[in-house]
Amino acid sequence: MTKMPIRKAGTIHLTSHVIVIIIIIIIHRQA
Amino acid sequence: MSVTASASGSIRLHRLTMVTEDDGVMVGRPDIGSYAVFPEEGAEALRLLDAGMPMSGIAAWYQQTCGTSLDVDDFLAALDDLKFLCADGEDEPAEAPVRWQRLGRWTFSPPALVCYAALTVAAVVAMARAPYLRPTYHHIFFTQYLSLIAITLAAALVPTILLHESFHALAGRRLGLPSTLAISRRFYYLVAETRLDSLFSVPRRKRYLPFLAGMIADVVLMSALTLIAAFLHHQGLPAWCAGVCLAIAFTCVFRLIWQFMFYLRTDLYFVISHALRCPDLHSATRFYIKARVWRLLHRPPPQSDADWADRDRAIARWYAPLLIIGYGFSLWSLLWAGIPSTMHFASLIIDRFSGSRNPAGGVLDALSFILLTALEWGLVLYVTVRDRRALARQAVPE
Repeated sequence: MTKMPIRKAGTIHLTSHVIVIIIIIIIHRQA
Repeated sequence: MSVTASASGSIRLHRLTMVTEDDGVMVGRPDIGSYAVFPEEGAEALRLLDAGMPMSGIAAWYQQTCGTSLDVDDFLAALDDLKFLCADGEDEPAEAPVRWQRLGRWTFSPPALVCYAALTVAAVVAMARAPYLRPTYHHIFFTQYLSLIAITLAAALVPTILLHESFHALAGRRLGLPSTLAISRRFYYLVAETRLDSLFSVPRRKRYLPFLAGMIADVVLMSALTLIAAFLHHQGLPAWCAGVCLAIAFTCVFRLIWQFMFYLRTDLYFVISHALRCPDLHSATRFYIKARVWRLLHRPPPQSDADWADRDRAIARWYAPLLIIGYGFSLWSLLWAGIPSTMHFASLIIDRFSGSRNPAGGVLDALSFILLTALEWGLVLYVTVRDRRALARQAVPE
């Protein structure tokens, strides 16, 4: 008896980074 | 093609889509984003099942076609796990129309694409002529008041990120595909996320525009803001008017750079993995690394329910070093820059609050820093706990 080879697909989650500015300000202040 | 629910027979299927892939047929439900790759005979079995053939007939057909008997219980269990089966007495939900399809078609119509290209060329020409328009991190500091910078850019973040994500969604909507918007994280980075699993319902070549749509939005927005800044500059308005535009434009540059961190499954990761014809390269590579580490530790090989494509397994060997270097870079930047800088700034804030002379601007700077940092890390923590709970719920059998 054969099991049918079924492979679950991955996901497609498209992103955008949310917060990046704080680090720049911190580094700028530190400098 | 689309398989619709059978009106007769004891086993009924939900409305499914089928797309031929390299190694089989991608079958799935776009309404809930459940997809799996079936062998061609598996897809044919689904077509026959949907046409009303009883399971005994399917088993006989399979035996005749493949020369071996099918494990029917396992097959039905897999279909149930994928939520392809209609329960007894359950009606196939009416097909809800996908909203914003027309807007999606307009947004990516040839005239619109020509406009985007013209806007981008105009911005590049303007930058070439006027060096002050060229992106630099100095644009962030459009005013001397740091709290004003932080609050302005945080406020601008919401519409600009919504524009990026809505371009992804609209590129899918124009194909009639549903999507959802969520907050998630990649490693320790907080991200906005458009979940477009339904793209598996269209052929591979039609997936690239939805992948790249967010970056198109960032380039168009950056170009438009640069041109507006140039216009405002020539109107003789106060410098901060153009400055705000250039500051927001610079955040677009950052978002574009972020997309090149493909090891965090950014938009470019999907472009590259699809071009390489790898359906789930990231997961396969993580498992490959885990197996190698366990072998080094003389532990038994890890087990996984997932079954990756041969192509994923083959490319994972090459992708693994890149993934390790990428994560190493992110970790290094956190340890080298992120945490020390935050600690340094935190000590400055403590000094500012404990000192006898506290200028109002300084206190406001400190408060805005505390609020925004707490918001970011609070959201990262919330998303982490939420996702872990969801995983735990999945692990518990119903």
